[in-house]
Amino acid sequence: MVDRKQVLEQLEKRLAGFETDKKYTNVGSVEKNNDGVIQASGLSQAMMGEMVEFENGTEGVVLNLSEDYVSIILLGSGTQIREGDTVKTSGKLLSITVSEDLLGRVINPLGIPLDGKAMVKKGTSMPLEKIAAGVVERQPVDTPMKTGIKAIDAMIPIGRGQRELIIGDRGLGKTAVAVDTILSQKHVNKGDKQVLCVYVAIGQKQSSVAQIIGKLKEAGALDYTIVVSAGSSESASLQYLAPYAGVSIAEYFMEKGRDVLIVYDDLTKHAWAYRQLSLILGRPAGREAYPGDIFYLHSRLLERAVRLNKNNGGGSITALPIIETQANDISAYIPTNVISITDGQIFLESDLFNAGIRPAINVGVSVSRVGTAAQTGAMKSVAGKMKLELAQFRELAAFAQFGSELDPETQKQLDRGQRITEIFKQPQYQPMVESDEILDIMAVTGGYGDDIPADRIQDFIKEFREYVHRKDKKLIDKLTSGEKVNEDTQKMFEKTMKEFKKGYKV
Amino acid sequence: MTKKLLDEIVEISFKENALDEKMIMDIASKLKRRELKAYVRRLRNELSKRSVMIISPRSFSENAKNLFHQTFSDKIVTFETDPSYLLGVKIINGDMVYDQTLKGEFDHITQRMRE
Repeated sequence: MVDRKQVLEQLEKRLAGFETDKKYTNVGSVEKNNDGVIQASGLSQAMMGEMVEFENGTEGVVLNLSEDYVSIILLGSGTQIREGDTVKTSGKLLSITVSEDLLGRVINPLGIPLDGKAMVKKGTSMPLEKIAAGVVERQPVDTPMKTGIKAIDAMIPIGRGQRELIIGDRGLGKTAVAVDTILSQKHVNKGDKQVLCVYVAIGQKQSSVAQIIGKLKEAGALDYTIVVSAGSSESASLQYLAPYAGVSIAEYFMEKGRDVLIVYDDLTKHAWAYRQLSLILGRPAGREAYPGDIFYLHSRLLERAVRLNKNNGGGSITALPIIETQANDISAYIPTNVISITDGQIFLESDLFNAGIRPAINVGVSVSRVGTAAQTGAMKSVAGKMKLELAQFRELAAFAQFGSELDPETQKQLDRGQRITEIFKQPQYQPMVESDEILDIMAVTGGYGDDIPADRIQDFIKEFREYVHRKDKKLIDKLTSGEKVNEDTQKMFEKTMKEFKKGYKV
Repeated sequence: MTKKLLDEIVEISFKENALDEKMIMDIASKLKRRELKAYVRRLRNELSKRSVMIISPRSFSENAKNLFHQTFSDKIVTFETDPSYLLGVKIINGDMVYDQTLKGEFDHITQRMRE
């Protein structure tokens, strides 16, 4: 039973913050209604990005201010809005109500639930448009964001607060990489240290989004994830607002000192939605009919990914934007824009995909500009050798195609490279913990897989992993600690491997 | 028709702060359909800018009317009575609405409570 006194106190508190002095309104009249974009005269006091309300209750956002009229994008259906209807300003910028109750929920960019549950009304109102944290509030990226994908964690590591682009043609597993990263967070930290995730679906098929939600739910990852969806059937306005709503939600948790991972799936469709709006708004079209501020559209969004310093709570937002290319062309307009904004890219290639290498990550073209600093000592000490061997393999493999006879040293390097490539193959939705990733890499770079046929190497390392988990918990603990692999750990590993190989038959 | 020309013909459509009917008819007869549409829209906006409407639940005294005329000396002032406002006065000055009525206050409170 709630105490009567408490109720009164709460009401008094609410009354104290009650705004009663707003005695004027700025009104306008609808002149045109074009495909979800309204032109209205009047509204001389309207601000850019301000919310307005039409007489039938539909809301909109001011997106263009000109001498004679303002242009408003609708947040609801525009079928009931007619010429001459009254529209009034609200004095509020577009915002979304965020609280812990949003975790595990599926909402649209306005915070309206899409999962059939009740709307989250209590919480903090977070503006969709916000200036990103400045240099004083930031600190360098120094903590790893585990993806659970061997190839990424070892070769293209991502740090908390980083912006890493996932780029590739359709159907190559871009979303799978992002979803695996979300699933992987389940094993990284628990409780207050748990990395929270926001998945923003922009212009995606409802069936695809439903499938992803199902996967997250099945793996128990939806408990720490919020899905913001503006599907392909939604208006361009909602698709345009979706990533900003997502990052506003992420900022709420970051300001509380939490680490947040946000996935924008995908920014190509976001750019399309913005292009559609801009053309209807009558803004001048530039390259590929995109408006002049298309770069700013994504730069201001991705700049909100940040690692705050201790004085500002120490939270972070790691962004994984996704871009879809056409015929592996990364030099198109939107891909080059986003590549230049982000701190690296994971490039998925159709040739690798067709060759059965999945995830189809091209480690030669992929790069992480800041993530290496965030890699744990353990991973750094084993990944360095592997990177070198893989680079040598790539170089030799190109030449080896032309010659039939190779010297034993070259053949050895080629065989090793083949096995490294083989261990990077990983099934979808099966992210790995770091200790297992290190075990796999150590097994191959240490030459313990050289006598195993390349097509059997996956089984070999899988059985070895299981063996270590069964027999040598101490080694697992050492690798889990994140400390650099020293001589002792190396000896422990070698001992366990020799014991395992005694009983292993191909 | 250029924007400058449209501004000019709208300007000459007003005479001593009121619409010059003869001039408007003269201008309208010379315009094409599309131009006429733009002219009407612009004229309506300009009229709205130059007008002030005072609404009150009770009729205005001559004194009060004079006071409003003095306050908005450069505008076309019109008065309206609407008992549904209960108490107070509402001023519509161009696209600004100043609502100091009891009904307006109730509406504001209702809206806040709904939020």
